[in-house]
Amino acid sequence: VIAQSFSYHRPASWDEAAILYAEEAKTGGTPMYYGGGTEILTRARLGEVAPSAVIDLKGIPETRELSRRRGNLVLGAALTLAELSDSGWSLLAQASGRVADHTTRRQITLGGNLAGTVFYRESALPFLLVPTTAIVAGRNGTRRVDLAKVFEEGILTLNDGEFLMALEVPLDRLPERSIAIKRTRLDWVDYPLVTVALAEKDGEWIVALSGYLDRPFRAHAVERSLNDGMGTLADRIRRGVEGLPEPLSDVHGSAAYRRFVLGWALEDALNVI
Amino acid sequence: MVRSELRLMSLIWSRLVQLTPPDKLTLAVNGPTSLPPAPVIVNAPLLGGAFGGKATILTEVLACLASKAVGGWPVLVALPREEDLKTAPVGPGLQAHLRLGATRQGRLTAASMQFWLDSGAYTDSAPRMGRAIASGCTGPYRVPNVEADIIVAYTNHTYATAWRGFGHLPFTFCVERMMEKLADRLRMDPLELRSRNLLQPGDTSPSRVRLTVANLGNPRRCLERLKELMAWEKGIRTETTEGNIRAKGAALFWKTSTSDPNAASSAILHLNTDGTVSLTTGAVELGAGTKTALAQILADALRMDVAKISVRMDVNTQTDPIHWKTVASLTTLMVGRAVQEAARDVAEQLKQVASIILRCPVEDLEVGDGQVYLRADPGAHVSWSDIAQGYTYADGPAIGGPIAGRGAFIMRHITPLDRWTGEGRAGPTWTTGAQGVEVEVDTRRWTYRVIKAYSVIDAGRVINPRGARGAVTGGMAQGLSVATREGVSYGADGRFERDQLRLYRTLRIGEEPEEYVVDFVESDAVDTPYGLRPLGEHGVLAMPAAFANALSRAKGSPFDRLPITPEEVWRS
Repeated sequence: VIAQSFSYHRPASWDEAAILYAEEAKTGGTPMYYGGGTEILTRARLGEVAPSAVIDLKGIPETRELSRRRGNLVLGAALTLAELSDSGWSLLAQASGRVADHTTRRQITLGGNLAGTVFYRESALPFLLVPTTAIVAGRNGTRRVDLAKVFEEGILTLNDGEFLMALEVPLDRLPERSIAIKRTRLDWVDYPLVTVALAEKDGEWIVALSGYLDRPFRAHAVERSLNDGMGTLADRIRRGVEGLPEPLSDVHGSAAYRRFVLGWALEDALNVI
Repeated sequence: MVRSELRLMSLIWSRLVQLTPPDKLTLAVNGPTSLPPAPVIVNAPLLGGAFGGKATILTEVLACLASKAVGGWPVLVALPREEDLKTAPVGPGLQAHLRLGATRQGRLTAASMQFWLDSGAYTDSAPRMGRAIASGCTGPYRVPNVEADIIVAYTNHTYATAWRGFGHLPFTFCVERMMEKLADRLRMDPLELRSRNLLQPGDTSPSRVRLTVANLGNPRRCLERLKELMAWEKGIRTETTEGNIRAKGAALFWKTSTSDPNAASSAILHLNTDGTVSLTTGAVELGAGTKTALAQILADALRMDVAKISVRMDVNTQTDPIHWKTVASLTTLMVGRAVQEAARDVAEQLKQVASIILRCPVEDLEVGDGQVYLRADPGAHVSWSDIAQGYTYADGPAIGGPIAGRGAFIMRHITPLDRWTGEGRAGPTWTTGAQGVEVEVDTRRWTYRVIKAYSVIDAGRVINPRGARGAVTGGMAQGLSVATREGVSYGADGRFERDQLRLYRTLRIGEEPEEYVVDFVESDAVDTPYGLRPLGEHGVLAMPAAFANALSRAKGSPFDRLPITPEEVWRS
């Protein structure tokens, strides 16, 4: 339960949302944009956030768009992860389809997953593998920016008052062959020890990982060793894993175990693809 | 959101109040010296349950003290999930150092046992759990020479309480892993080793209770039936065509309660003019069908339709009869006995009045089907509903009066363990059983899958077959959950690490084995209703041991700690 009062707004356009945010902030308030609300609820309960106003983005048509337009796949930021399975992009459906559980995936939005504090952000993996344009709205209008620029740290980082409206991916850049595989400590529904997103692009493997470090990232070391053709597949996987930074060690699994799991998850991914 | 929070609190409330006897609460609230004690009335709603987790008190005391501080106004105490997991008592942690001595033929000769029980920061249930472990420490095996020390230690952990099995799950794990190691050392089939050493009537328990068929049951038949069900003779370790390994593991358990010597129950019956009978007891329904079983026992005792029994569902300690505690899988046994006695009391009263109306000796009358009738001529009868609240003659005068029955039960021959010899009788009767698990281990990824789980339990007499099967199956799932993923942990800095359900994992639907195989053996426990044995917690008890035995066989290396995650399998 959120033990404080706050105001709730559901603007119908992006500029209205940006104005609401700015006005609330100007009067000393602490507004938050609201997509699925799962983190606002859980974090407010723990006293980690205390919004004075929540601005629901789901009433803004652009945030709910799911379409193919002018050669692009357009994905509104307020689409729920459950809805992403209808995007026709299997890699995105796979990567976001194992976040939390089904009930929660009907709440969590794409934008929320990219901007959330739960650091796995598995929905980001496909977008780390293809050029993606982010459409961002704010007090000064909308802007189009390369997603990589606002996701450098593995979390969506926008200016104060801005919010993500949609992502655009060129349809001709979607990889033909791709797969996402999630491995947990044990349970089907749990945080990942590692989620591997693997795709083939121009005859080369490209790889992004979640759960391995404290942010999703493009695993260039793995890509290099997979693509250099030196030694057996097992050798290349081993070298690739060794080339990555030291993985997390936490209640879900030790660093050494994460390395082992990544090894066979890569092997599985390459076998299945 | 408000709604879900309320639900959470009502759940906590129902869990909290159900098990704690009000005198314990009164003592806790007032302290031992303050007189007179303020009366504490507990209202337990219909359903609750915490698998023993509420055998301790926690929020009740806080609520009473808080209420006292504000002049008796109602107060609400609610623990958020994180506080509940961190501060409310958890299951016991146990470590053991065990040494077994045996002949080359696999006869146990001696056992030297040390158990360290983690009590956490407060005493509460842990010493009694230590006593429970002591009185059953060898498992259901004959060991001529036993030395056992149970050390209950205060630690800076969350305090421990009963957790389905009252210490029996962890100590069974320790003992059954040792039996497996012994079988390996002797190069003997692990079930054959167990079979050669089973306790039998005429033997004594570790605390020198004389064993009889009535108090021990028939563990041998459980073991034999398990072997059949698991097709044990067909092999216990095989390789699949994909190069994975399938292995079977089994383990035995026995459990008696660790009751207070004066643990007691009572039951009250009221007859109504519509021919129904109201049944009131102090037993709290935990979802195991206790109230149903009691109604069935009453229906049988009064030879009446169970649908005509009106069961009081909730419990109010001000008006309802006492029941020791809804713990130890003893409710049907204890309250069942009280109900049977109350039924006899009612029958006697019915016959008394009917003998006047029918002008015959009391001994010539029978009670059944809502009537009191002459045994020799059932046509001469009077209906209960006409006597229930006094019988009125056709010409006006009335006799009799409202009929209420009362029954009581108190434990027999329970004694504390002697301080120096360890002798003593902890509970009324054992329940024994054999459980098994079949696993498949992936030899590349070191992940595993539980394929089947088995239980054969000597239930004495199964009263409600589907209820019994349900209780055992649920226990098996919970046991597998403990075996594979459940458990609290503390970080290097001593902090409680699993304070949310996303970190404290339990088995979910879809992660269960393909099949639960449950079967029962029936050997009369005597002096219990229908010869039944306690059956509630038992499904859980040997599952982790059976799982670990199967996994150890598959991997060829020992798994002696719980839980056993795939990471543990990889590391071993």
